[in-house]
Amino acid sequence: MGALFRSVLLAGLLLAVTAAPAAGRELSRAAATVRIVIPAAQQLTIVEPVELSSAYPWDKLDRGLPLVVSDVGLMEIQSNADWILTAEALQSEGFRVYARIHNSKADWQPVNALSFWTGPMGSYEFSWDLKIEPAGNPEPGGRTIHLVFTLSHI
Amino acid sequence: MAACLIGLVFVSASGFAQREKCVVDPPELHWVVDRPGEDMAPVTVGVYRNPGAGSGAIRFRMTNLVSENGHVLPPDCIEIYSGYTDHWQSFASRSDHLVLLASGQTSNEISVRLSPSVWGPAGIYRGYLESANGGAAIQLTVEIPRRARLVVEPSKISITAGLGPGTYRTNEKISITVDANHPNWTVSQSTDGLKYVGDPKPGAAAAKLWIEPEQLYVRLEGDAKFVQNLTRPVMLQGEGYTGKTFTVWIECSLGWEHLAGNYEGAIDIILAQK
Repeated sequence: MGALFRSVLLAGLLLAVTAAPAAGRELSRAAATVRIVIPAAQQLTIVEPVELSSAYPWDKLDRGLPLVVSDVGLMEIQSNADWILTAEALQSEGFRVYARIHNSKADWQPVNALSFWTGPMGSYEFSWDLKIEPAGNPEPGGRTIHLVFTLSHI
Repeated sequence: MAACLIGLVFVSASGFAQREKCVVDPPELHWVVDRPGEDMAPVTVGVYRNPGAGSGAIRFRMTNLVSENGHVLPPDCIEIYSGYTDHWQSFASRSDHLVLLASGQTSNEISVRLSPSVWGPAGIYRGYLESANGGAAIQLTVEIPRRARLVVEPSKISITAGLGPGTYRTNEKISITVDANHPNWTVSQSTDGLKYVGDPKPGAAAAKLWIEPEQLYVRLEGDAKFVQNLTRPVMLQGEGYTGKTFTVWIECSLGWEHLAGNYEGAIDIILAQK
């Protein structure tokens, strides 16, 4: 019985092989070389502005605590090259502004001309954690600090 | 009645016999033309007058040579040197006649050759060099084998993807010409994809350093609906008996996952006979 089964299987395989459609006889072959140049491309989309509205002095300032706000704004970075992001804080006179990417374990970075964040190519979406400390004697009252970003490639 | 029938048969037979005033040797000629413009050596044919067949000039004419597919080689594709003129002669039309055995001569050796211009759709063409007043004919066979030649230009094409992710077309068109004398061929285009050229930065290890065949397309000029993905070979078919030129672009669909840089690969183009 086993031998019969093997014979039938072999015959079936042979039939399958011989019944396969034959490719046409190759007559000639050529090739065209394609070269694609992909320059660095980036896109920064501010879905929700990264801004912080606060009144100075804020609660707990008397205990020396800064104002910390989590999960501020929303931005998308798309880049086909390693990227570098710089930020500038507008309307922040009299304060030191610190930022870090929300849900990251990175340290706070002061938002100034020397600060930057980097990442590898790809698509990212993230918000920010912001921390504000008074620098000197700011004017009391309400204000909104805006963060403006610049994206470039490394 | 029977006597009448026998007489009729006799008259017919003798009449037919009278028409055979000459014989030719060899009675059949066969050429195989491998390529256009090929020079073929002339063949010598003897024309012999049958004894008692009179002494008048024996004239021949050419029929068309017709292939099994109905294609025609005109009578002037055969050239003859009869020795009665100092040049090769051809038959301008089917009604044109040439003297191949002059009046009073009992034999003549002629040379028969194919015109170098003979070419056409693949096939076996048959016709006759026949003499109405000599009752003889030479069967002529011209065999034109299938031939197909592939020319692809240019050999290098490029895409500049300057606006980020999207679909881009090659800066140059590819011209794929199949010079063929039959329609039984296909041209396939395929690719293994395009590979990043050079060494990416160490941090780009996770990047996609390959443009896959499914991101590449063939677009055929003149047929807005013909845009085919190169995941599988893209096939083009032969039509007619005179070959064909296809003009195509390669298109590429790029995303953010493709690391900035240069990529290179080949589109393989294969001509095959069906």
